[in-house]
Amino acid sequence: MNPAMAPWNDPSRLETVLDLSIIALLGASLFIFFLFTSRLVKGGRVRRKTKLRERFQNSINVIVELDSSHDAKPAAYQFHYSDLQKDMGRSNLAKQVMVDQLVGLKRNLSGSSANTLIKVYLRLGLDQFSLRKLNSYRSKRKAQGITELSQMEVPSATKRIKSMLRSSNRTVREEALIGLVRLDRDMSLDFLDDYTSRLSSWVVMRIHRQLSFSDKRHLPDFSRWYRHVNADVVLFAIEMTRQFRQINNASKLAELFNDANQRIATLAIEVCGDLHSVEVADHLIQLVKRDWSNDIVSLSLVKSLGKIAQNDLHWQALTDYINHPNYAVKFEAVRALYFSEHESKYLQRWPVPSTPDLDAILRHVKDPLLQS
Amino acid sequence: MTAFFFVVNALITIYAIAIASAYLILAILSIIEMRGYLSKNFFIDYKLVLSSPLAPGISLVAPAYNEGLTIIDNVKSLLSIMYNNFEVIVINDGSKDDTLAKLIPAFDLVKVDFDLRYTIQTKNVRGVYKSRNQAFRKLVVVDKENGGKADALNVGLNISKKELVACIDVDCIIEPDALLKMVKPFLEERNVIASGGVVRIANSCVIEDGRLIEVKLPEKLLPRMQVLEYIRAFLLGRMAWSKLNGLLLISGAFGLFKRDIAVAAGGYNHNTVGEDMELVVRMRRYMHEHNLKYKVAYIPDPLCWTEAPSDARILSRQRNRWARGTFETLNIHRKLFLNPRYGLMGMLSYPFWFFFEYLSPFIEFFGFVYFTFLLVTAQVNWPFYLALTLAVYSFALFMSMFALYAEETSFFKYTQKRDVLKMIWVALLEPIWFHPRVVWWSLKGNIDLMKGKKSWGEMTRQGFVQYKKK
Repeated sequence: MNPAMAPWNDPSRLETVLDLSIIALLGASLFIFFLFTSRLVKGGRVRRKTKLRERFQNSINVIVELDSSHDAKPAAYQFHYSDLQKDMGRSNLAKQVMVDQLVGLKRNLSGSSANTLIKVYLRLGLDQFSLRKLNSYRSKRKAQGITELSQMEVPSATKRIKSMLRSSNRTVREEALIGLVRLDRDMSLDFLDDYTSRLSSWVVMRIHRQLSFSDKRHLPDFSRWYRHVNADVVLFAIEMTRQFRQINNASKLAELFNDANQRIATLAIEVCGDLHSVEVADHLIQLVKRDWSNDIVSLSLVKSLGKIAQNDLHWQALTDYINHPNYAVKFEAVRALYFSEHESKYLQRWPVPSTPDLDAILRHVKDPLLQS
Repeated sequence: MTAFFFVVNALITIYAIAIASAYLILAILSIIEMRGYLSKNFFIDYKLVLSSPLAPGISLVAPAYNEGLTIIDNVKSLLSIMYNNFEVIVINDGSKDDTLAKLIPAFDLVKVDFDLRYTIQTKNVRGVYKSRNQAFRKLVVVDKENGGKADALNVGLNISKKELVACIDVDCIIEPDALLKMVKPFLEERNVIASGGVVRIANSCVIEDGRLIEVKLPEKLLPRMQVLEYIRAFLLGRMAWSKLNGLLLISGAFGLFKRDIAVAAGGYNHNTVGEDMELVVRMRRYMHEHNLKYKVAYIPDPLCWTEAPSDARILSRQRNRWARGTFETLNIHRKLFLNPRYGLMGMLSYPFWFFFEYLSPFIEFFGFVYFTFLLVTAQVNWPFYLALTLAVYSFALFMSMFALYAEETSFFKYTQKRDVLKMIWVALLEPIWFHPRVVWWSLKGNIDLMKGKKSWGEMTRQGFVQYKKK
């Protein structure tokens, strides 16, 4: 045997290798065991949940029906509530199934039926079940508790949920934010006043959806947050101004055109265009030359001007954009001019040799199948 | 000679310990990341994205070459994806069959005056088509000279007007809610530049009208081996890299990118067959070189289903190409190697790929040659050799079982009771029957690379049509 192999002849090394093999094989066996037991447990759990759901649904249907009839006797209610209590027992699984079912149903209902579901939730003491989750060290359970309490409109939980805005866990913070929006009956969104954390586009989307369900007349004036220290809150406020068409805020938006944060400035410019705020067109004209070399701002300007241009000065500025070095800006300028009543005055008389690609852009813009 | 044996033995041992440790660490990190992902997305109603006017626009770019057999079904499937603000751009890359001829009447297409800007240089575009039928208003078909997949994808980047671009294989089946899930990382963090999803094997699955109806394990052994391989790679590997923000590869079958970054980085590279990996590396490099913060995200949900080669000859071509593509990308970006300027990508991701993904077939083959030499010269320490073989086999089995357990407790796609037993059998067989062949095909890929081979090789597909539900 080659002496170089001596270290590998050492029995202790051989033992080590064998030990590692045994550990790996044991580990593999454990996983196989978990694989099979997981299937069994999962299957059993699914079956139990399905049974519980069916039982709960029957009782919930009757309670909602009784409630809507207005002349049901209390004893009838009591019977079905007792039934539910009995089915739930002390089992956390059963309580969770019940909560999920109530929350799921409430999402699709409104009015008195939704209120009945809330009554069921409270009468069965499930608000306490959800509140206990807020003390959990597991962020998923905390977030789950917040969602349940806010979906079932438990106003007493507002303070606890508000304290979770400062959680280190992002999921908890987001659910807390959405929860507060749901619980905010006045739609004041006061909690935004001192909100300093990130507001991602995802959260903005969720808040927007929640606000869409409410009466638009009761929405706050979003200009309240145009000067917030948190840029994300400012952007949120501007976007919500657009989505809920708060056209009276145009002049306040114009004050943001010179904001140091480019994202805020460009969004404010775009939103004014989308709101057809013709009163700010002159403000925009002042920015054309100043921001000519900034492609991003120029693009926002040309899109907005295209929607709100009113006089020769505005149309001339748009025409100037045909010479912009950025293609997208040029394109938007041509499109805006083509679809305006001033096409013959500004576009057709434009000296073609200085803009060799103008014909190509025009053909594109004119094609009906390319107009989105 | 003694010293030679000692050094070789020691190096092989160190390499084996290093690679095993690396895969184990990645597996653990992957599980942690996946649990976090599942926990975070427990409350998500993805339909929120579907109905929101704030969702970003997506262009689905699908190159097509000689797909006449299935192109109509594939395009219809893409058009039925659940998302509001999107367009489907199908690029007919100079097909020699009737791909375009079939598309035109099926979707009532006419040529339009699209002002195409060659932001990224590509082969000539012969025409851009749109449908006169409002039902297909989201469809754009581009006819161009043949230039390869990378070239076709670059045309898609040029044509696209949306903020995000999803590059897909036209013959893959995309889950209806795939875009809703893939777009979420971009909404959660502003600096995400790309996101990738898990690709799963669709062989033997029940497909109806381009939609996956029922997931089944492949009937043949070879694709079944690939199922295990994919689960291991995606669930125990890429999730970890995503957590570390060191992911170098997003599958070419389905990836979502920020269009302006992809274009600024130069688009897809024509000079490599691993254009998917190369683009991600180049986009990351672009961000580093411009001192911009970024993230490449990864979604463990099975969002894309593809047909895996069930024939060894075709599989060998695929692995041959993957090996060549890996080397080409690593070679193009060799500046990253242990370069602190590129952060974790340079100091960890790139070295990992080089040593443990690229070099491992060479090391394994060298080990085989070395063992043969020892055998011939009667120098094999049989007890140690057998113990080592057992250790390596056990580790492979352990990782496979780990992967299957991860799949079982997360997405649980293979629900038939017998599937567990079938996959355990596959895991037992794989190190002996499948892995050596993969190593050989990878080696051959590198040999072909040295010979100057650049082509993709013909990837004959059977198509999904024969698995329709009765």
